Amino acid sequence: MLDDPTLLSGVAVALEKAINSALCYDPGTRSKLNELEGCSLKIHCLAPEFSLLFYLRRDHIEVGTYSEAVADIEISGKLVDFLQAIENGKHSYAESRLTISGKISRLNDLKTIFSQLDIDWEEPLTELFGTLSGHALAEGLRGSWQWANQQKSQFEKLLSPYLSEELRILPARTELNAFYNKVDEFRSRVERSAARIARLEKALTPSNPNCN
Amino acid sequence: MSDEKTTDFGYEKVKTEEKAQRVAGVFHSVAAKYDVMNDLMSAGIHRLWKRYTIELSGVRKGDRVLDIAGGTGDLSAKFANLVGPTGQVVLADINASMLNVGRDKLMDNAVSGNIDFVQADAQYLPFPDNYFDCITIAFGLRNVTDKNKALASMLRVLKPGGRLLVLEFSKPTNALLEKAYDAYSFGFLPFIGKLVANDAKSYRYLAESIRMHPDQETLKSMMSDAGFSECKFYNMSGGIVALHKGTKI
Repeated sequence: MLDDPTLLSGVAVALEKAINSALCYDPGTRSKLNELEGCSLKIHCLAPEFSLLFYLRRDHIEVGTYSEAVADIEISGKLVDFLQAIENGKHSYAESRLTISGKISRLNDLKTIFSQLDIDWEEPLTELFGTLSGHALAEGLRGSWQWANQQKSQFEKLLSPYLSEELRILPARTELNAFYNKVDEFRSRVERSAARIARLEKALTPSNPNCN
Repeated sequence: MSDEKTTDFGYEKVKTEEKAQRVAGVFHSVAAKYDVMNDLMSAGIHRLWKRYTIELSGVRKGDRVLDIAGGTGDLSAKFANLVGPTGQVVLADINASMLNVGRDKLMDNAVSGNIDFVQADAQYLPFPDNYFDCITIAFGLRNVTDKNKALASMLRVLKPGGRLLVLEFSKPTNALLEKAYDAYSFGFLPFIGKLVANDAKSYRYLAESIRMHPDQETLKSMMSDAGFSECKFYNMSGGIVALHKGTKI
């Protein structure tokens, strides 16, 4: 389905509008991106197959779907690899299954710039709802977002002990370690036995002058 | 027994020398509402088809581009931005009414410094050999009387290495889609044409002319026969529209 240029062009248009709308409310990021004006980034998804190209222009980004020119940076991989890389944002490129070519330093610069993205959400809300209501709504949303993030962190911390200690559907770490130690010990015994058997076989072969 | 050569004007057979006049009549009639109708008929999707055409053109700063049947200037406006002040865009159309609408629109949007407007027939392009880096013809080829002549003319004025892009309605790749498309074309389009442009007949011609236009593979062969190399096509919206690309070696 994504191989229909119409659909992909629609995605590109929507992305372009979303990115540029966000950049409107973050002049800091916009001015940092201007330092990389002229840079191009190609995202090449292998499964499903499609490509998106991002061009850094003065004060805005253009998104395309096709170019014969070689992009400054090209990142390729399957969609699942891209999603995993986004989820594990702090890990290095080597740990992802993505293939990256071109100007890696520019990619690092882009990563740094976007990690510092600071959209002033209050501004579009005040434009829509007025100064007082917009500010109150922005404060409410900010608070909700912070609460949701805290809950998420707590949940992640408590999930593992809950599954192992309360529900007992997963073994505790100490139990796992004891099991791994037993497996290692068993493996050592098997290897020692195999070595003994090999020695005995060698001793019992006809070419051995000790045999009758 | 009549020896007169005839050609298609939609489903109607007309004398070859009359087709251009009949097509002119259609476009004189629709020129004023052309852009609005394009948006209504395609729900704005024609902008995505044209956007992809621009991307495939590979046009850069300093290039010289010919936009045939450029009409109201959608593509020319984008090309003007891409080629910059050192490049040139020629918006050519056989129809004076469409050309006037395009020129007025581009001037109103302050996009005209590097655009020239020329009334010209695609079959007899009035330009030197090997002149343009890129030629586009969007939704115009199906209206040309002799398509082979037009393709030969385009090849002549293209520079070696130059690209031709033909954006045109084509044959849907899916039978179910084709049926839905037929119902839409012959039922809804003339109705909208009557409502908005007060001209159902012209939009009926639109639907008929699309059905009489060569399909994807046939047009690709025609381009190869005309002398274009590396000819390929890209189906869009399930084959309702196809973008053909060829290069002059």
